[in-house]
Amino acid sequence: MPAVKETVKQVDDIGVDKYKFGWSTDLETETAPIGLTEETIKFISKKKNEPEWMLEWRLDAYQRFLSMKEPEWAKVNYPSINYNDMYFYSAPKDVDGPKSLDEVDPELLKTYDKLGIPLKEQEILSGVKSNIAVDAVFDSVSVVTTFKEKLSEEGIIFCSISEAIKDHPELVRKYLSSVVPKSDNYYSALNSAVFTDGSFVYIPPNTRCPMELSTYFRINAENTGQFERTLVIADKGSYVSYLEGCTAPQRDENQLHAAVVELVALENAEIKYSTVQNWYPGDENGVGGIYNFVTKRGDCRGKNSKISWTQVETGSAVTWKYPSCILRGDNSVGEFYSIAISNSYQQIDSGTKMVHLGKNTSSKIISKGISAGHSSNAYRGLVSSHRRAENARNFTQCDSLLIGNKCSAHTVPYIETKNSTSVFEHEATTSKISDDQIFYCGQRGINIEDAIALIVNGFCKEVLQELPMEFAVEAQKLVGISLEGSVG
Amino acid sequence: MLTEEKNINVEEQVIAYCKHNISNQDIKHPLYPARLGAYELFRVHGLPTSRDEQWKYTNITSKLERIPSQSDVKPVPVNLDNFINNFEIVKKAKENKDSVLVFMDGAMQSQLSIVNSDMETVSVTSLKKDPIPDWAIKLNSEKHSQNVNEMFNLNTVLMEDGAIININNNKGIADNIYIIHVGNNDGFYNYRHMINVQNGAHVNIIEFKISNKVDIEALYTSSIIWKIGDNCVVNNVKYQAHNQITIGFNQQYADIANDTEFNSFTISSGSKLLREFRDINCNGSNSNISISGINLLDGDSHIDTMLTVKHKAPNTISREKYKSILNDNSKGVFQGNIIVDDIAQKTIAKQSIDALILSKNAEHDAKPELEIYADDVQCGHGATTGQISQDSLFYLKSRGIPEEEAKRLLVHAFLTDALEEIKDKKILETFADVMNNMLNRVSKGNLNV
Repeated sequence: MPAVKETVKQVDDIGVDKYKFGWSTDLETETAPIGLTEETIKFISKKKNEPEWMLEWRLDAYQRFLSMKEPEWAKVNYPSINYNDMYFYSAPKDVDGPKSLDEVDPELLKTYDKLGIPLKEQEILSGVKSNIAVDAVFDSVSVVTTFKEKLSEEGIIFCSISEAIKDHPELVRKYLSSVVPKSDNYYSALNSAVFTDGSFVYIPPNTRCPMELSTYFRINAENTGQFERTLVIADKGSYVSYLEGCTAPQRDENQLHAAVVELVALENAEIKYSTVQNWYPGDENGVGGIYNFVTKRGDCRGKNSKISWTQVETGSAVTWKYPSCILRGDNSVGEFYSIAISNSYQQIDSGTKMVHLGKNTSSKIISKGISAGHSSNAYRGLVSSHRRAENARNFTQCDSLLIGNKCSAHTVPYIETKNSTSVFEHEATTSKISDDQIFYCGQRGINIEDAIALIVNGFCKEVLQELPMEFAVEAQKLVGISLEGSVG
Repeated sequence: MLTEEKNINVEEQVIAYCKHNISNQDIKHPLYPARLGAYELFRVHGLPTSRDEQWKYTNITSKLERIPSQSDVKPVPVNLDNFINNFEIVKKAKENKDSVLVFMDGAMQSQLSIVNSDMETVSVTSLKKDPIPDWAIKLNSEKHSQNVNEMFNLNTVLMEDGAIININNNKGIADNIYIIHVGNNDGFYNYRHMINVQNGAHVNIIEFKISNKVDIEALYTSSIIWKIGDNCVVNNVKYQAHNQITIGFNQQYADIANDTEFNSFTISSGSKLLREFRDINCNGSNSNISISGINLLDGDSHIDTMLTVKHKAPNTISREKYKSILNDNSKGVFQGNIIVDDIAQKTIAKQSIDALILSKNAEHDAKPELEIYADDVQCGHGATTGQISQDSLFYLKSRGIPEEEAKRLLVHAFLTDALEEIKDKKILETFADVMNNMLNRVSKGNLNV
């Protein structure tokens, strides 16, 4: 019965394809003592050779964390997290910080190769043509940063945050937690206390970053949370495009990822921040997967500045993430483009905040939510204008697509207008893929899964085209893969 | 208008008031268990605060400092009859032999009310009269057992009077019932209406809530519970124009069965604080409902609408269309929620919320939510906030229309498509004058354009 065999093979293929980053790497690692205590924080700080002020800063954040409560307003359900049952620091042995590529453990390089990020190759090919500089973060530490020299010729600082704390303390002290205060929320306080690594970017005035900057996060160790901190500063008149990717191995347990990303755009500067989030989402029964509790915020501090967030959310068991823009400078612009895809038992509560403070500010939100399986997908957004924010303008569009009748889609927008010159528009729709569309594709010999991938890609097109080219191709594939098995 | 002890906060005052009230109730009364249960809940929760998600934009205690004191003697003023008869609408109603129920300060005034219709199709009694019909007691306890709304609980504890209306007509011609509330004295008033629309009935219920004088300091809670059967056509229009110091908390619950049309339209203006809580359940299939309204705010008014529409059966249609005009220092809040259960396939739900802000200090907050658990649905919402378009204004002015008149025209145009949701054209006509007067008041003056 070849036909049956073929079907079985196809089904197998789908299973394997579903999450292709589910393997783990065997590496000797060094971990902090289990649990969250002052000792753990001191251990992390010591491990990273941090100056005294940084340790005090962390301990202060820890004290604030202790007095805070876990937020419960999001439309997600998960068992409470036991912070004393996990590791807050795990690093491949002998990696204290990024080194040159030759010194990096080949096993690690292989890992990134397998993930489709050929660090080595890129450096070699740099003379020919390649335009992405990568900071690779493995569990708690940054293992390598490529193209550092080339970037420093332009005065651009691109390194791990631990290096920045040592080498550029004046910048770090000035900008760290100036956008997301330590006690902004429960998870930002936790992150401030225990963050282990992340990327730091500084673009000097009137510089256009010649290549895409990218950080690739990988969780590998078991029972370990990843807490990274990213700080991007675009000085006057500069431009940078930054990409972030993330994956994790397939495990039965839930792992915590609580990151903080801060962007600062000064006068006439522009930051474009793109994320393809592909953490392990758990299996089809909802076992395992990453809890992704992330605070991302950009501050358009100067006049005519612009921050644009683009995100493709396909992974994580639970997502709690609201990349926001504070439009402080006059004429500043905030943008948010998002695709959130949830399948099986994934839960997503994501959206954005556009806070209009300056005059003539404008913002645009395009959010596409797709839920399939038993998943729940919520858009939660805030658009607000303050008393003095004259001529604020916002356009919001939230579309949800439901595939199957076990999933749910929610839209929770908050629209607060305190200034009569504000013009805010919000529209949202919820619908399903129509039978006509499927029939049309079927007629042309496209099978149902491909047809869905095709239609969903069309549905997301407005967002996909905002992604840098390198990511757009990957994201398009990801959209198809994430929905596999959602019909049948 | 005397203050009680000043240092007791308003929440304690309200709880003490409830305690006093509950201890004076007859424990054998069929509504007593509901009252007592509601009292226990209210005592624990107290007044809602802005920490409660549903009250995020409304801070009761900043508006309500104390319970207005009331005199024990509440004379019906000689002029009340005249006052009511002066309303064009009431005059017409009487001519048409419609039913008119008059309430003063929350108490039914039988001598002023008329139940004109055939007694077999419409029966009216009041919460004060014994015996209360069994269906009303049942409906009341049903709503109470599933309720978590603090202001509804407060209303349950304190309700004194209200109309209990049973409609059982099958003639295909609507009965018209007017319910008129007049605020005439300072005080704290609580009333509840229960309306049972039996299968196949057609009815128009038009409510009026007005303050008799500008200086009456009234605080009230009111609830209206609808139970609507199969194949009904129900039109409900509520017009409320309180003075600028009245504080009111209105609750509306409606359960709608199969193949029914329910149109509810609210026109609100005035009030220091007005909360419109509405909870509409489409329990049966093939129903078609419209919940819409206009809010006209000026002065220091604050109107907060909290509307939930639950689709619990397949093939239902709902439309919600709200328009607000905000002037002076007013604040408008709209929280709308459409919930579609997993069995409610083929639901069509459309919600739109538009606000026109006419002054520098006005504020509008909107939170239109969708909560969808079924896939074969068409649901959407739109929310806009803005001011009068300079281009439109210029267009009209360049054609010789004076600025004031042009603004009035544009404001009127903005409201028109919401007004179209009043399906019964006769009712719409009766509101034409009232609307014009309100528009003139709200759209004139300090426009910031």
